[in-house]
Amino acid sequence: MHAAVRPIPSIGAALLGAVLWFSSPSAQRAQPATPDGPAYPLLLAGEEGTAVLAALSDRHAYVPGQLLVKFRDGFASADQARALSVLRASGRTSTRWIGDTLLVHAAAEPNAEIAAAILARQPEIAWAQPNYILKTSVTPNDTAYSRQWNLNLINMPAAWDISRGGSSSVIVAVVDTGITTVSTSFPFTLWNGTSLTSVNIPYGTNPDISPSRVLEGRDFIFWNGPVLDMVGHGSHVAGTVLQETNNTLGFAGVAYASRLMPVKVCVGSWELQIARGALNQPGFVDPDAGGCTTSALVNGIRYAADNGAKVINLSLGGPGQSPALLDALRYAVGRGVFVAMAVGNEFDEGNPVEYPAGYGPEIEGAMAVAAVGRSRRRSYYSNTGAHVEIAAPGGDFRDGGADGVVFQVTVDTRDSDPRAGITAPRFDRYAGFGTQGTSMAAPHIAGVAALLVAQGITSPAAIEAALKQLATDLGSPGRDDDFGHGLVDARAVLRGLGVAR
Amino acid sequence: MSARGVLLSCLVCLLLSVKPAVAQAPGISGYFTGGVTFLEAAESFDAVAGTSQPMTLGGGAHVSRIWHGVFADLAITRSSLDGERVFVSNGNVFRLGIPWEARMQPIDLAAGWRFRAGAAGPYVGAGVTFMKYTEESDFAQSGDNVDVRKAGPLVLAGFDVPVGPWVRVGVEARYRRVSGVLGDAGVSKAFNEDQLGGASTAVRVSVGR
Repeated sequence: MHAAVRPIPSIGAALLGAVLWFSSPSAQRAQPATPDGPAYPLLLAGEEGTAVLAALSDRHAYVPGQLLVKFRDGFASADQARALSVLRASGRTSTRWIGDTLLVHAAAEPNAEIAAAILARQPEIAWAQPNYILKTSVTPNDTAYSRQWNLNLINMPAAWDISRGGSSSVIVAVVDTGITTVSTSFPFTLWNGTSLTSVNIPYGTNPDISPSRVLEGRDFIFWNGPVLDMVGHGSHVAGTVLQETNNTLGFAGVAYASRLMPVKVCVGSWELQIARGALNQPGFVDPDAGGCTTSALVNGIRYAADNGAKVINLSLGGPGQSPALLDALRYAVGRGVFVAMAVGNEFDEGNPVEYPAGYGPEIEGAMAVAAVGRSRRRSYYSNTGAHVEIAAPGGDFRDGGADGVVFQVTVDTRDSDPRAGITAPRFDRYAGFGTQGTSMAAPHIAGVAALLVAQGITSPAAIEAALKQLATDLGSPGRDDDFGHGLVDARAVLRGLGVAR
Repeated sequence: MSARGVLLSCLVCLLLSVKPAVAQAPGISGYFTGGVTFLEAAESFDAVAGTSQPMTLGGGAHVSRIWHGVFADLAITRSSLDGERVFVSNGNVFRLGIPWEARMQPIDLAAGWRFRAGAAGPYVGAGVTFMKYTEESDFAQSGDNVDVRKAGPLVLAGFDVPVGPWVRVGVEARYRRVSGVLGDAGVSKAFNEDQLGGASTAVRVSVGR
């Protein structure tokens, strides 16, 4: 089995340098306090949820006691029950279906790798794996306001002559830490250092993405309420995909006419802090705690595919191979969804193959995206390997300093930095932040894919072929492990080919 | 020397080579021609234009009986195709909706032998074609469009009959090979097609002696 499923591209704490301030005009509409707890049921509660909460808080590699299981075809439910009985014999077991994958919670068997190995030996079971945790990783950089060199680097201005931001008929799912879909306040119980108190936390929508282009989406990890971004990563990524353009506000996004489907599968420390409060647990959560469970991610990918998304962006990953993720990716691509996946930022930490990006070469229609800086050199952190398929701007502060990172409007994380002593955060203010990571590269590919879909190219395999064929070759001639087939060229992709040129 | 220069030089040489024969003086005629070209890069043009068989119209000059059955022939034809830009994946063509237009304008200079000169009969010849090829499409930037001239070999064969003292009607086939235009980029690279030429068939109406 695989060791710890580790991080992915950059995120909240890497968001740097607020340069522009926006306040959502309808922010802070007070929500009546509900002394009985959160306005919506928390998913990070109950036996299954608290296991996730503990795993995320303690930064485990997987959720103890939780497994994802797929049965072979042709076995009846009685056979499936028999296979699971090897775990049930040792204690209480609960199950929940995610598509054709079963999420098994076996509290008495906390070592999920051992439990998965036991289950995998049963003839009825195709595969079993722990519910790995994928996290966001931080890459250091500096902060400053800058031009969006990244959009010029991929020829976006000329591409926009061909396609004015795509079409509202194209839905892009950003499966990430969420993008806030409401402007309101919710009362939560938080630890203030001495006691648990109810705090009204304000949330606001991104003022640089028209609410009319944002779908309701779905939260698969925090609660059964509106999608909220308490990290800033999802908002930053979504901004690159489709932030308003030519609106004299903030920054531009690639496919700015597309619609956004926010799918929350990752949490940061504040979601965990809120869940602890709901469980009346005092104490602070590690500010770096958080991540995404494989089960939530599988759920999110399937949800996006089943609800009209044509493109999915996955700026997340971890080094553990996951058959559940591979199945989910195949399911989505099989339903006509193109998937962009960040290859990861751990080049200096052993350069592991991260998943889901590691599955890119196996699936025509899902692409592993590496990062380049403004000089078209590989970003120092960007993972390399045979699975890298294409490159896009991810930023690199070593290549251009503070101006060498990728800027977008996102939740102003200065309002919620636990290290600054904040115990009552707010998430209703937005600012332009620069950051770097393959997380920032993948949404460029997702955006260009959305433009292609708007041009009538709906086959994920065809989109992948176009992106590869018409990329600007970098590094060694032809495909290489640093850049894949090269740097995406949005104009070339949208313009296609004539007979001779 | 440019292609145009070569062409003019050859034409002058051909005209200077015309000698009056004792029995029959050289005959000079002009002609109109119309037909179809079957482009050799069929997959490429089919992908972009939806056809690789454009209509071809043109005309030329023909000098016969230069020496016995020897003739010289100069022809200028033109064909064009409209389509839209595409990309190709695993042999499948995906159209992008961006208008595309190509024009081919070969100038053929040939010499040959006419059997039964002056009467109904066949003729064969060979020479050189100077192909002007342009390809234009929307949203082009500097260097995106194509405007090139390349030379290549040509063979021809035809059969015509006199239908009056000054008029001959016939059919003719030509085959041209032109390298250096296709195959380095565009869908022609994807289809591994590097020949711009092809076969053409046409009806030819000549006026003259």
